[in-house]
Amino acid sequence: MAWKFPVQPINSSAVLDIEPINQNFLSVVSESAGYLNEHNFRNTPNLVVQRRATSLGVDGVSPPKLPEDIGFRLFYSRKAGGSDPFSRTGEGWENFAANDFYAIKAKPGFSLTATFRGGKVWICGSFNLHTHGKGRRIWPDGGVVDGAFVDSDAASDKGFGFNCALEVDGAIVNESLVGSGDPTNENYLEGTPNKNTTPSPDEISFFKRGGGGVNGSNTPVVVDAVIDLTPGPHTIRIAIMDIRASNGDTNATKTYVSTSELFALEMVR
Amino acid sequence: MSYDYLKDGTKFSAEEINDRTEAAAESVNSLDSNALAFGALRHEHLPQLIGPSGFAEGGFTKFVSNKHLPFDGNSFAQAAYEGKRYLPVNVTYPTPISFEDRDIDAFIVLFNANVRSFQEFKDGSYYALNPESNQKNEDFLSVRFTIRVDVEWDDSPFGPGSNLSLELPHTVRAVSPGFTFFGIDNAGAGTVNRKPGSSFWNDTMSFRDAAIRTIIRPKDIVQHVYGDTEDLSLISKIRVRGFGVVVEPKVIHSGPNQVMTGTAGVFVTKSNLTVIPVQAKLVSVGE
Repeated sequence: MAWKFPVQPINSSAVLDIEPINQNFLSVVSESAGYLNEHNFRNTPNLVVQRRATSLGVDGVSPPKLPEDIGFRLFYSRKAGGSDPFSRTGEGWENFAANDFYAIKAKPGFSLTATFRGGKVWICGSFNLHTHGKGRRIWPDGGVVDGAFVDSDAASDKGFGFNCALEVDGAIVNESLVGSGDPTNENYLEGTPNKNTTPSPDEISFFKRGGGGVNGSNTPVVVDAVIDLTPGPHTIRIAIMDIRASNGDTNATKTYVSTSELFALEMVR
Repeated sequence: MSYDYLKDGTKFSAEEINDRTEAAAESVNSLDSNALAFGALRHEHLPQLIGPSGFAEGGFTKFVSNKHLPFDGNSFAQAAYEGKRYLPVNVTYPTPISFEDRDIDAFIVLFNANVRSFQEFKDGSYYALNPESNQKNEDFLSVRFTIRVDVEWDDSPFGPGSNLSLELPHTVRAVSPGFTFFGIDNAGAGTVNRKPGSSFWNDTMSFRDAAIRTIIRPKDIVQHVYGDTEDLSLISKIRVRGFGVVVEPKVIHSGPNQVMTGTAGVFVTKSNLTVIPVQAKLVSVGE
């Protein structure tokens, strides 16, 4: 135990009395009833959470050994390496179709299944949302380059916007939601639909439609929540909704996610 | 939890004392969830995420948060960047954190910044994006933020005591001007601007938020320093000196440059970097 026990050690030369013996036991009784605090725990530099053993095995390498008094468990999902948001070709990006409902992916960085002990868990997803063509091709002035039309990836209409959230065991965690999808509650602008109808794209229309939820070509999104999880296996996923399915224009700019991370920090009780 | 008091007249024998010792131990070990719910072993008994009490502000380096520039929508307090630069937010450990004793399992990094506007950097000055030049911004102009880890290690090619800033690719996020929903009554710029992705006016409206939450494991650092190795014991040679953020505005496109003639610039107002080293049972999924 972390506190001093016994409080009053009884030396062989001590005069026997029942009071110090009672005190020794009462220290255990009272402290287990709620009188321990942070001062009862050892503290050393550079640590946030204390524990007895190391995370790695005694050989210093994997597999990790779980100490009995571990304070936290951190579950982490991401694809090996990274997917650069600056990539011209969109290498390694994940495509999300224009669906007017929450879409998920059972892939690293988007999904995490683990067995939890139950209790408070901070779950967090952090990813980069793209709504532009992978090629990042520009429609040239005049529309002709070397005698041929160039397929422009630039899209004037990004759709309504996106709702992003965390999904736990198939249910959206409401407090993690970013965006609302409510035109009366968002900076949403209704206007003439504008399509990227190559090889002769329309000129951009003023008062375009868009501005709801998460909106823009490149957007770093964070969704998180602190929830109570029951003991047992749970699946946590990042969920993305293309509100109104890109305003019904499925040929509009595609949606991609480049870097994506998902983690769950469980406080072990 | 009950305790049978020793009273006057209680037979004072080893058995009486041993009985009470065993009863106390058994009571502690058999505390059930109901007892916990009613206050036994409360939250004060659990390890703390945000450090111990009793430390003066600034004197405690386990949980470090750093910010620069106040955020005020009407203020021009901002920092301008072009090319690849370090943001003035840093987490620095007075004593580098050593992995040798395996005390740290991961760093949780939280970063937020507000990108006030995008600019064109030309001839040493920043210029507002010019709508008369048919500049196409939204899909091609963005700024990239990368978490930087400052380390030092024993047996690097540069010798003991050298240091290196690691820019970890999985921490990268990018944000664009966000003119997607921009609309104006008077399209004064004329039809020359009416092209996909064009800006309609000078960028005074972006105010885009950039947010990163990322996990940095010893494995990430080892493999960045020593290459693709599974020998995680190499972490014993590495110490973390701190963290920072790299900012890099850039124009990315294929074909002729029609976005700007200079280089991309960006104004950043408030930014905040927080790093939490944690001890935890780390389970990586998907690798």
